[in-house]
Amino acid sequence: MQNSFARFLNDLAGLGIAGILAFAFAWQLLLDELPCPLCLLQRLAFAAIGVGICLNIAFGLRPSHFGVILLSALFGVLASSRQVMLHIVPGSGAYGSPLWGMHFYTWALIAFLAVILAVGAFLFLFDRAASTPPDGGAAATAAGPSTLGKISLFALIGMTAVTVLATFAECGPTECPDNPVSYWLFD
Amino acid sequence: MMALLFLIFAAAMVLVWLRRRRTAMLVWLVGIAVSVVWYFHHATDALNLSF
Repeated sequence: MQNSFARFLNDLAGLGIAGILAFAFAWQLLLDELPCPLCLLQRLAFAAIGVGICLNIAFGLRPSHFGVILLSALFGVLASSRQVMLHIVPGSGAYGSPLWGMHFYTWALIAFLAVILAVGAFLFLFDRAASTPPDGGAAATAAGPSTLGKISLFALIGMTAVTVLATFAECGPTECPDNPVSYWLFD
Repeated sequence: MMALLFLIFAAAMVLVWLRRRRTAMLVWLVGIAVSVVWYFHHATDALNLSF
């Protein structure tokens, strides 16, 4: 029962990460605010977290998969804290419109720290469920993901694929501009 | 270039879907390594901080 609840939480987390990528993309389209290179690196970190969650969905909860999530979140902290520091001095400006008083890079930093906290709590609370079983995960792999897990998996793949296309439309095969104002593909 | 990084992680997810666990984790590792390199490529401006 603990194992199924733990996997349910993991599946929900996958939907959460897909939701973050979807929200960022929707904001970009609706407000016509293109993401800067650092912004894209933060989205990349969310996608990387998604890989770890996908591994948990498909092969069962394993410590190495949580390692993928943690290392991805640490990279996200690196990118988002850099952007926060670039604008933390009063008068140094900001990038993009704020959401509920804080800019997206600040929200991203909070989200990455929350992921690290959540993984720590998860491993503490679901000790056995998150351990590699004696059969090496064969039974979990054979059982396959739940319905929610499949939805979560495809949501993550879908949103990452959408982000691939959107990023290519913005930057093309070259480097992304520091302050993008238009899409490379439509210029 | 940035789109390629997202493509790497998308590929890792697809590999998970195809039940190729070790390959997916290897692709993820490559993606993270390239991402870190790309981060340092972009993090060139000095921070306007003084303590």
